[in-house]
Amino acid sequence: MAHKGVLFLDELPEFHRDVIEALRQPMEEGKIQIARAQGSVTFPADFILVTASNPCPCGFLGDEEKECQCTPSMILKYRRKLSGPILDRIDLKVNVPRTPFEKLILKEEPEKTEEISQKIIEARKIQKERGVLNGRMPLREIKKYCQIQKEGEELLKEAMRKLALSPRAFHKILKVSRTIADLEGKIEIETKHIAEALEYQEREGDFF
Amino acid sequence: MKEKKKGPDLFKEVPVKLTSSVLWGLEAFPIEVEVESFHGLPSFSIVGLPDKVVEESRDRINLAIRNLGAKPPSRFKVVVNLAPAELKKQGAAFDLPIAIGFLLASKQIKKFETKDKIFVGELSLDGSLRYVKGILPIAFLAKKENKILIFPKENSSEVELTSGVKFLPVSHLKELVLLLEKGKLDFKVSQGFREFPQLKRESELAFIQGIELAKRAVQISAAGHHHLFLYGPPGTGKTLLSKSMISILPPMEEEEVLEVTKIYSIAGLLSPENPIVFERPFRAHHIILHQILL
Repeated sequence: MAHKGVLFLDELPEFHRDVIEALRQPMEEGKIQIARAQGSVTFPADFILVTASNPCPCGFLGDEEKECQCTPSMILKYRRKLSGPILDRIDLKVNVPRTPFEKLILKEEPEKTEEISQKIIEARKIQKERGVLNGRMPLREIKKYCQIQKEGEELLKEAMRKLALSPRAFHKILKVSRTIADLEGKIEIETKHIAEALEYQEREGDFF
Repeated sequence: MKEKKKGPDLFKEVPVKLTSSVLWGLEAFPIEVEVESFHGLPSFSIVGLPDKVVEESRDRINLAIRNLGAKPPSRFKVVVNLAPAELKKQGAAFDLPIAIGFLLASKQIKKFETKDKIFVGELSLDGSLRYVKGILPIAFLAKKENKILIFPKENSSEVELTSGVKFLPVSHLKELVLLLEKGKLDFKVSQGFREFPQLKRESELAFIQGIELAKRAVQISAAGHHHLFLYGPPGTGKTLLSKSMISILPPMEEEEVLEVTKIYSIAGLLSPENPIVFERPFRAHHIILHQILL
């Protein structure tokens, strides 16, 4: 039902395990196969999955203002629900902290929605010429389009060693930095793009 | 089918054949509706893997035809075959082809060319035709097979979205019978939609403050079709961020619009006032959810 749109799952760890697992196929292939008595039907299901979660059942772990009231075993259980395979397929992970009061009342001129969406349309155009959206890029294309320079390579090497990243994470970083470069209309992936992409990877002790 | 052979010589003809359609996934498949009617112990049977709704169409057809002032199937021995036999037939859209097929088979209306038409429609007891789900894929089928699609008027706004489909909306069984008797069908050809409405592209994204990293991640996710995972304490704006994503995604192209509309058509989520989906769908699910729903 969310074909070509956004599927938003709030409180991901509260979902049943099999629901979460059922998402794996559409996330990878953009379609879903449903087996019925008569055989199986394939529906297109090409969506961007946006999921949200609290860091623990009560929600305040790591918060500066409020204290978390969960036992360690509760937290562990909560997190175990987020199975590796599903998180593995999510390219971007980001912490949404509480916004301090001083920032809430700031009167900055915000970036206009039109400008943002214009940039995104441009970025998608670049990807279309390449033939595939970055989030769906298969390995061969990653090799072809996500070339990085010496300096970026050094950074990535260092990051992989320090953060103990898996090869899959490595490819995710490449894909995300490709998108960041596309957003700026750059042909080559620069070091700062990789640095930004690294921001969106899970880190030891951060959440997992 | 021994009874068939016992039938009077008067009806020694081939059965009446009409085309209708059934949905399987997102595709519509043609179904041949064969109707044979003869004198004998009154009975009305439908074979070819009909589901409960199709079974019940017997009663709807009986009354609709009687209210038309014609002889209803309950006076005859009627056999309806829906082919291919192994495909499961569901939904009430077979009411119309079966009713027309019966009227033909029982010689209550003049013969007409049946090969170039596809019939779909649910009958109400007074003979008027009701909205059916999933007309859009059937319209594509009609185009592919170059047939005239005859369907309930309430569905017309959906059919008009396609281009190059020959179509004839009818609101009542009687209306269709009169048209067929006249022998000349004034079908129209659909033009497709030309204008994309200017979508409102306002969002809250611009007004979310403080969580710049997360805002940026939403943009990257939208630009590169990356899945996104947000975590943080309650009330910090995770839901708001994800809702604003729709507004920064590029508008859908024609093909995408049709595909999404097709899904909505099958799910029965379209209405005459709201026949097409231009906006990218945003589906939020909470904890009670079944796999199929997705």
